[in-house]
Amino acid sequence: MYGIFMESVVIFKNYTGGRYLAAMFFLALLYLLFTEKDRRRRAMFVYMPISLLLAFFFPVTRKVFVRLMGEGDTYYRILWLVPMGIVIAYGGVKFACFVCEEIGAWAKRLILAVLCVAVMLCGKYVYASQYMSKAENPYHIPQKVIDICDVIAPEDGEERIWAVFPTDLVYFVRQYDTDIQMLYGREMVEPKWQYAEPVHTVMNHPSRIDIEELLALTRERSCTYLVLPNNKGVSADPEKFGLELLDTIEGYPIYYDPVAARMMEERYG
Amino acid sequence: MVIIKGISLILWLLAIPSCIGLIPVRWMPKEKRTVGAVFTGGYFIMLSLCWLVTVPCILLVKYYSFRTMSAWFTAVSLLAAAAGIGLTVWNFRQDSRFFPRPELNLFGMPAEVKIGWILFFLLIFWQLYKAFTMASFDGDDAEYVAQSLVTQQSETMYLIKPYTGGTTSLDIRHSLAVMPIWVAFIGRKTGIHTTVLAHSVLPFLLLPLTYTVYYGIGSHLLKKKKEYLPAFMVIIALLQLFGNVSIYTNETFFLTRTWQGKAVAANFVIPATIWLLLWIFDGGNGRESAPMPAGKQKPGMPGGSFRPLGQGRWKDTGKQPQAGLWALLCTVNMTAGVCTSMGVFLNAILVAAAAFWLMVAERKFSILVKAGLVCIPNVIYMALYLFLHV
Repeated sequence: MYGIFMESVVIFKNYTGGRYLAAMFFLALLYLLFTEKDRRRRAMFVYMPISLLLAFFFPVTRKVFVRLMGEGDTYYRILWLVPMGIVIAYGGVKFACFVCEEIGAWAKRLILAVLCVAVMLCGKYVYASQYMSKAENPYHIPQKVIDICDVIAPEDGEERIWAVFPTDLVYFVRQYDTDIQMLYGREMVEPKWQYAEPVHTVMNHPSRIDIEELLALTRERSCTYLVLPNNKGVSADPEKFGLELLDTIEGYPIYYDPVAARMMEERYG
Repeated sequence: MVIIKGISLILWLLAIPSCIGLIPVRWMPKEKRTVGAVFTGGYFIMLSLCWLVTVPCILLVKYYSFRTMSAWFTAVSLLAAAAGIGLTVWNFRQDSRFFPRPELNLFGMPAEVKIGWILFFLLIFWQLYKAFTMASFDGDDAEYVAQSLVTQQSETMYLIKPYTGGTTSLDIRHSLAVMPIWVAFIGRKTGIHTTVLAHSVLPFLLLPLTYTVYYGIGSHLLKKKKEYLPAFMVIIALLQLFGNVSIYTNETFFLTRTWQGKAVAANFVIPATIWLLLWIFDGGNGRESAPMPAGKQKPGMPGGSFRPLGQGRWKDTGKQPQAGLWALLCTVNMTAGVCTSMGVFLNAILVAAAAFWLMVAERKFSILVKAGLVCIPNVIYMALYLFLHV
């Protein structure tokens, strides 16, 4: 039980990111605990958040959650129920209100300004996140993916195609065009899921792609297009194995495999 | 073409939800019949209807289930919108002052309050600008966004793996959370690629919707100190902007995964639940009202119940129509299931926790019973989820 409790503590720490916004929330909660007179508001913004937090740290809650959801990775979402933002804003404004009545309007303005600055200093600006970048198009996916997909995508009315993409592109391909099917997708490339897929294993080699091994696998599965990484070497010239280079976009060579197409034709007519 | 897409967007994202939101208004207290309540309420009802139409189509229609869903949901949405308009016309015929006067008057407020509102709207504008010009990378988009696109392009629902394109048996885990299908439906109606819709268009809807909910909470909490409302909203907006303390917070989800069901659950559904609970339980206090338009308020009329005190004064008995709010809370619970299966579970916990403490505060066991009743959709959802899993 103690171990589960400590896991919840770690989850809470990770959730709050070690920043002081959580401290601001607890201060606001404490302030409301002592000053909020309306019993219904105390119920909503003091007792309910406290009970939800206690439930979060209570080991049995985590056990039940894992049992019901089949996983513990999303346990942090219980914390979404704690109205931290509303408590901070309401507590802060209520304090400013009190200060205004006791001292004066200038003190209220000062308190509100300090509160706003504190939020900025204690938090972390969302647009400075490593996951944010300038949008290259209205799809908000890398332009190189769109350019590559436009080269290989089937025309209207044509059969869907199978393709292989480097790990860094697989997330985006089917957000642009679902007529392009992939031998492996996001589920195989996420390290945390640790799935193994033979084609991905070959493509994901740290430095060199074994073309012969790759083609043995892709041709077996009727894959007619191969987009190779732009930062790795290959064991042999792909064109020696019958591949046709269609284009190279931002260093990603795009190959068509007529042998796979022929094999598919023979197999399915 | 662009104009047609624009008109379709206005129709399906603004006009129809707003009309649908008019349905429960008659059964809501008069002061709560606000534009924000109508608009957000419309979304809760519309998304609930979407669930009711989509899930049977997923489970029962074998081929081209999205085509069937699309036809039925179009008809149901239009009927609901027509019902909303019809009810409103009827209500106006009975009471020309059916809706309260809007409270936000930018011109008649003190400079300090005005500055606060301007600051708040600048922060919103900044978030919208960034939502359009910045792209956020999130692996889950490979599923959510691709799911919408697969639905739009293949006309089937949850039968094709979004990651690869391979066929699969029905994806039970995700099939009850039909948010991607709703996005695909809007994509079909507007002719906009669902990825563009999700990443570049929906933030312009979902961000204001969320702030409407916070406005509702703030204006209720500060109804006696309205001059503090802009400060409340500015702090909320700043918390969203600077809440990226980890990848897990609802604030991070709000601005980096706005279009995903779980982000909508965390930032729209959960605050809306708090908003409605506040409205229901922190409502009429039996205050003495201003002189009532005696004789104009017929018995049983929408707008609340008042007891005459004599000399033209009336007492608000606190027995304002509440059924509309309870119904909305019910649809909020259903919307949680539209967003994510876990949302159903989380929202039930929230309602239960709030109801427990409100029951203690009010010393009324009936609160717990009523809260239990509004969670019936959650129970049905969870039962269906378990049934399909077994």
